[in-house]
This record gives sequence, C-alpha cells and structure tokens, in this order.
Amino acid sequence: MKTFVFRNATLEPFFPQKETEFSGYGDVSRVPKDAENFLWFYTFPPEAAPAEALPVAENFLAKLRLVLAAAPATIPFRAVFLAAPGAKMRAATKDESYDKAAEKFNSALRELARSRENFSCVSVDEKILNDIDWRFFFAAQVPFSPRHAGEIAAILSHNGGGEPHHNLGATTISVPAVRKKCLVLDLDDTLYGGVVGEDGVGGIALGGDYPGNAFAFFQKKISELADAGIILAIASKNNEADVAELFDKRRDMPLGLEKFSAKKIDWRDKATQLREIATELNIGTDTLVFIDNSPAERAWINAALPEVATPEFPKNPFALPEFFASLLDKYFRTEALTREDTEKTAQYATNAARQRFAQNYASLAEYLAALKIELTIVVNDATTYPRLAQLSQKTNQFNLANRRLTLADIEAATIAGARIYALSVRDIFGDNGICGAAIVRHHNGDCRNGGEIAEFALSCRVLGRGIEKAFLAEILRREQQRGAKKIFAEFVATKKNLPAKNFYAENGFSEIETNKFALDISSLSQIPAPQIYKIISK
Amino acid sequence: MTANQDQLLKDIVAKTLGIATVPANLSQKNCDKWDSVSQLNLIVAIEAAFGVEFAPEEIATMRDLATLSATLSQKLP
Repeated sequence: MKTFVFRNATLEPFFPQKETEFSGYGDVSRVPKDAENFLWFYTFPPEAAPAEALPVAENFLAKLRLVLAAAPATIPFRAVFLAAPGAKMRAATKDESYDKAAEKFNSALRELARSRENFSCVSVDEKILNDIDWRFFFAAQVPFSPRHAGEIAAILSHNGGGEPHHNLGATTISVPAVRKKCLVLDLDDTLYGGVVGEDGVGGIALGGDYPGNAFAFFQKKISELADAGIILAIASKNNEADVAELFDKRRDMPLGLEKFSAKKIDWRDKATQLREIATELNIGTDTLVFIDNSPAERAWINAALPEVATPEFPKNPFALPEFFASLLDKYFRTEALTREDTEKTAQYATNAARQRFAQNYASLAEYLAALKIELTIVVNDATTYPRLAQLSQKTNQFNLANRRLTLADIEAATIAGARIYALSVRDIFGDNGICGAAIVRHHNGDCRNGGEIAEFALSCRVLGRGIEKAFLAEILRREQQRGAKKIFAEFVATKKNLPAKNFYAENGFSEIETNKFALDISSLSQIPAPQIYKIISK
Repeated sequence: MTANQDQLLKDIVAKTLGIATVPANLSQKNCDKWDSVSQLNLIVAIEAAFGVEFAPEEIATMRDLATLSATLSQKLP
C-alpha cells in the first residue's frame, strides 16, 4: 500500500486504485502502520445547517488529532484544507458560520504543519470541491464531480501546497426582487418519493439510498429555511391519519411537524387550501410559493390564484438541491437576510442544545462517548422492511451472510416466524436512520430450538465505531430472554467483506466448521457489549 | 449506434476496466474488475466521450455491455 486516505465520502474515482487504500467513511479506528504516506481528505457535508458547521469542523479536528496520535511520526502526513459549502445553498448570505468553521479547521492544519515535521497541507481549489454532481452525490456519496479526477490527481501528485483559494464569496449572489414569506408544500412525491396512503409509512422513499437521500436533503434544506424565518405550510390531498402516522413514525424525517405553521390535509381543492393558509397566517396570497410535483395542481393554482408563485418541480430527485438553490435565489434570500439578525438569537438559543465539540480526546473510546451514540433496535416492524431489504442488497463490506434479500423474502421470513431486527443510529450530529439489518430464524419457528443469524448487515456509514458489536449483543440478549439456547451463524465470503471475517469469532462464537459459527447463550450470565452506547429497545 | 461509436464504447470499457478484450456478453457478473468503483468511472468516461448524461435509475441498470450500449444509443442523436 502506498497512500492511505482518511475520508468521509467516496473518493475512489480520484485516486489510482492500486496505490491507494481508503479508510471507512469517517472511520478513524484503523491507522495502518505499513502505509508509505497518509492523506487526510475530508469534505464538508453540503447538507449541514449553519448551526452545525462549527460542530462538524470540530468533529473533523478531533478525529484528525486521534489519527495523528496513532500514526507513526516518520510517515509523511498530508491534509487537504476544508472548503466551506458554496454560498449558493445558503439561506442567508450574511451567515458566515460555514466560513468560520472551515477557517477554524484550516488554521489548525497550519498550526500542525508548523509543529510537526512530517505534516503538510494541501490546497484543492474550492471551485472543484463545491462543484457537486448531484447524481453521483446521491447515488454513490461522491462529494464533488468525478469529472475533476484529472485535476485532483495533478494537485495531489504535486504535493500541492499553498493556501486555500476563496472563489465563492457572498458577493456572487444576486439579491432577488420578489419577497415571499411562505413556502407551501405538497407531501406525496414532493417531500418524499411515493404516496404515503398507498406505499405506507415504511414504503416511501426518504433517507437511505437514492432517491430517498435526495428527498431527505431537500427536507433538511427547507428546515434550514424555516430556521432563517421563512414560514412553512402544508397543502396536501391526503388522509389526515396517514400523514399523522408518517410524522409520528418516521423519526428520520428532517422536517418535523412543528416546523409547519399551517396544515391543510384534506381532499378539497388546493386553491381553497391556499386561501385558508394565507388567512390563518395573516399574510397575502401574493407572498406564497407553492411547491407541488403535479403540473395539474400548479396549473390549477395558476388559474385560481395567479399571484402565487408556482415554480416547476424537477422530474429527477437528484435535481432537488439545484431546485432549492433556485427557490432561494428567486424568492427568499432577501427575506432571510432581513430577518436573519433578529432571528439569530432565538436560532442560536435552540441550537445551544447541540453540543459543542472538544478538539482533543485521549482515546477513540473517549471520542465515541462524546458522540452520545444512541442505538434503537426494533423487531418485526413492517415499516422497516423496505429499508432492510435495501441494506441486505446493497451492503458490501459489512454483510456477513450475503443473502441479498428482497422485501418479499423478508415478509416470507416473518411469516415463517423469524425475528427481523432493525437498527437505527443517532448521535449528536443527527439521525442516520436505519443502518443495520439482522434476521434470526428459529428451527420449526420455536426459538427454544435455537436460532440462526440468517442475515447481518451494517451500512458503511456507521462502521468503525463498534456499533456492530453492540447490535449483535442486543440481539443475543433478546434471543436469550426469549429462551433461545444455541445461536448459529454463517460467514459467506465475498471480495468485499473480508474485514468482517472474524466478527463472530471475536464475539465469543466458536467456529464449528469453516465459516460456520455457534454460541451457546443459555449459560451466559451476561452478554458482553460495548458500554458507551445507549440502547433503546422497542 | 454507428460502428465507430460502438468501437469507442468498447475501447472505453476496455481501458476503464483494464481488460484486453471486450466480449459481447461482458457483465459485472462475469468480470471481476467491474466493481462499483469502476462502474462509476465507466459512467463518467462514457458521459465525457459521448457528451451525454445518465440518470441514477439508468446507471443502476447499466451493469452489462448490452445494457450500456442500449441505454447509450437512446441518448445519441
């Protein structure tokens, strides 16, 4: 291995594959001693809200220091300067939180370069880092356009020193002429993919893989707009009970119901709904912007209330970030700007709940404890099955049984009496949604006959924190509680999952034949589990 | 697709995947070097060479030479 790259996004397209090895996403638990050189290349998550900017930068710094403490001082270590997200996506142009956060990280890099002999900084043009191809961003977590592969390779091979370039100042933003006050949103196929009344709370596309992640991004940005003082309302043709269930059950919805100042959820025509919203909020209908994926609904509003803005909704979910930026440009930036100062105090007060992050931790364990990771484990909840099928099919690295189960497979397993475990992960930086899937089958459907872990998969987004151990321990604990004695498990090797090969052996299982494991849990008085996680069982 | 375009596509596939010959039945299933990273590189290379763009839904299905070729030819004038 020549270069080992610490990264928090997909960087493989930018590096020669043979000479490079990558850390897990955001993983700092592994620091290989046989690397010829190290590269730190973290990119700012474009979905981060202004109030999250500083904690994000501080988190990166804390991780970098952990890595530096573990990396041999004789091996060259280069770190790429952090670029603040482009001004285009910002609700309020005056908000300097991103720039301040990036600067804090970058000045720490400069300081490290002064104090450590093997450490140097690399500058990659902010224009490149902020040129996101949203298709690849949502489909494969590629943080900027893969078209820049050549330029990146050139910069990194030249040792690319120097200072970060600032190309995207607030001055490039035009201030819109129109001032709108309220964003009125449709629900189905607008804030998430699918129709809640038909697809169910678990069947809609929200979070997880594309296109769900594009809708989650859109919601998060709209939520930021609300924080900057824009009023939000819902105008949806739906059953109220379905919508109530949606907001109640989907903890990973970035937009909570409390963000909406007015809600019209019924089967009346949307012009009536919009008139009522305007009256209720005591604003003119000419201050409304109506967001609906249906051209028919937009045409209806255009005819009935021509003063309402009805921007065309993108056909492809990956275009939602650009669509959001166009909404800012056309309708909202002035309003956000003028309100910003007055709202700021209140905004920061609510965000004070978000914990500030120390930059130095003595150990990885101490750092992980500071993340306040919460693991929620639910069993046999049908709303989780679509996402569990997605995890089973798409997870390559930490997928032990490689069964590639479909939704129908999981439903059939439930009927056969299997226990379907879903793991959600939350930390101080937010909710990662469902990240882990496990299925335990019982012989003849009776757990006392022993169980077999027929599926165990964990998303690469949460690897490297020992979460898989905690998930397994909780499953074993529950199986024990239900009277299971012996638990069997199988590791099915693929090209990608070799690092997980020893997982069962490391967690007390004995290998009864090659890649087949067993553990007698009936005699275990206590199942060992990492203590730093809060486990919520449902 | 013209014969030239077809040849260009095969050249891109060979170069990106690092393989000498491109059999007509080439797919992710029968080619070890065609993993998720080279899939990404392949799409980027094809888009740049032909001046087209694929949607994520299309990219998800383009996992063998026949589908690559069919999806691409739909986009070409």
